[in-house]
Amino acid sequence: MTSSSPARTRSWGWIPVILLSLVIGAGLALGATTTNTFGLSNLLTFIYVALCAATALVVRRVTAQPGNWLGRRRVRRVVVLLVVLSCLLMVALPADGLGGTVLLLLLFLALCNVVLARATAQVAVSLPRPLDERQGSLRDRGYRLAYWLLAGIAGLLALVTYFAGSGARAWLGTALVSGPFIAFVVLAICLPTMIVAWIEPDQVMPAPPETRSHVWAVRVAAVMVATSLLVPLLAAIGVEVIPAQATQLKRYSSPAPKGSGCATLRRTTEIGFWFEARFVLDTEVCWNGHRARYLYGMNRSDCMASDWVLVSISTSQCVRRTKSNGTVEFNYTAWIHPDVLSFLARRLRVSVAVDRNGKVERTK
Amino acid sequence: MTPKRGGPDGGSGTGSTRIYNRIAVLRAERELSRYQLAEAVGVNYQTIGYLERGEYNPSLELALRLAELFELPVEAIFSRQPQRPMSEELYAPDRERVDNK
Repeated sequence: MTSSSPARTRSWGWIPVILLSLVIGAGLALGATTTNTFGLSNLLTFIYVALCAATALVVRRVTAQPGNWLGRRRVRRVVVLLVVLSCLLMVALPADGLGGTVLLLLLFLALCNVVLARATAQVAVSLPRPLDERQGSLRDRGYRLAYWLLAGIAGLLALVTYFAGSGARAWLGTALVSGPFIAFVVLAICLPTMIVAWIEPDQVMPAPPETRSHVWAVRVAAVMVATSLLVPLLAAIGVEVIPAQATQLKRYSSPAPKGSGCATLRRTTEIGFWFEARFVLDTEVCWNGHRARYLYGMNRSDCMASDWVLVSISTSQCVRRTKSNGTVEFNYTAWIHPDVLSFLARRLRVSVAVDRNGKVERTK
Repeated sequence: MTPKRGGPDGGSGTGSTRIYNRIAVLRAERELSRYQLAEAVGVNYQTIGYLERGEYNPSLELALRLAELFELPVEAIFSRQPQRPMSEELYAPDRERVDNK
């Protein structure tokens, strides 16, 4: 039988710190080699992944007492039901409607898992730390039940594949690469903790006082969890809130006879920070005093984003026309949705017109 | 014996029937907190709470460790039958002897 109490403050160890330093160092090195803006975005993504990994490591190392609120079985069961509902929602999502919703659900599930891990004093998380005989039997029961539940689900799917018609098989084929598969993986990871949280009775109150270092460790872990969850939400809101960064329309004119000429027009518009999209307008227009005409650009390629990170883009307008007065006009409108909180949308409208004398009439 | 529902293992601890105990009384007599008792016998303080509430049945090793700590025989602490109050057990034989005289 093990003899030391898991309630005791445990050493954090240097492993998370070393891992985090290595990952961030590699990320900075990668970022330093790229010079454009989207090198920064990719670096931010890399740092965010490192932050999540470090948070997971730190949370696993800190054994926090559930406290008065999470010690209640009723509260724990509500969290378990929320996880089950999120998984069902993921199963119900259409395969082509994944993306942003799944990311949001995964963030929510990560938060629930952290809450459940704390509520169960991380009994079901296989840490190299001593559990007493009751905790050991509780953990074993959680894993045993989780095994049978997952085996039941897998067996049911096998039966469906064997006996069901082609429609069900087609669904299963899609499910193996979409929401249901993600839900299954989430359950495979979280189910033992969920079962322990479900079956463990109300805990004994009050908890013994924590040491100061342990209190700080818990605070640091809580701040890291909050940061990991809030940063993508803020970046998603930034897509809608941060003003668009647009460079001036640059004009490179080439020498030509009086009244005629050609010019290359370039303009870059950037939306958001980290969750961002960049649109580049690059066109060459010529004019002769009677009418303007384009040589290249002002087509579908100018309506599409040249780069984007963690956003989805839908183009609603992409029109080029020559008016009767000889002006070439180009308009495009796009909607940018962040992958997290995908119900948010930013409308981007760009309009350029070059008249028959080479004057740029309008830009937005 | 009706198993108590909600125990962490099989509804009533490590066994299928409830084991009654006097841990709460003995702990109070010795002015020990749950945490101190847990430290002394090497378990989580929650385990002591579950033991006291009858929601967990201890292993033989833990029962012996508790008996050793309280310096009492195991059967004085644990029983398969509901236990009478200590005072009743202590004084009832004397009263019976007096009555018999």
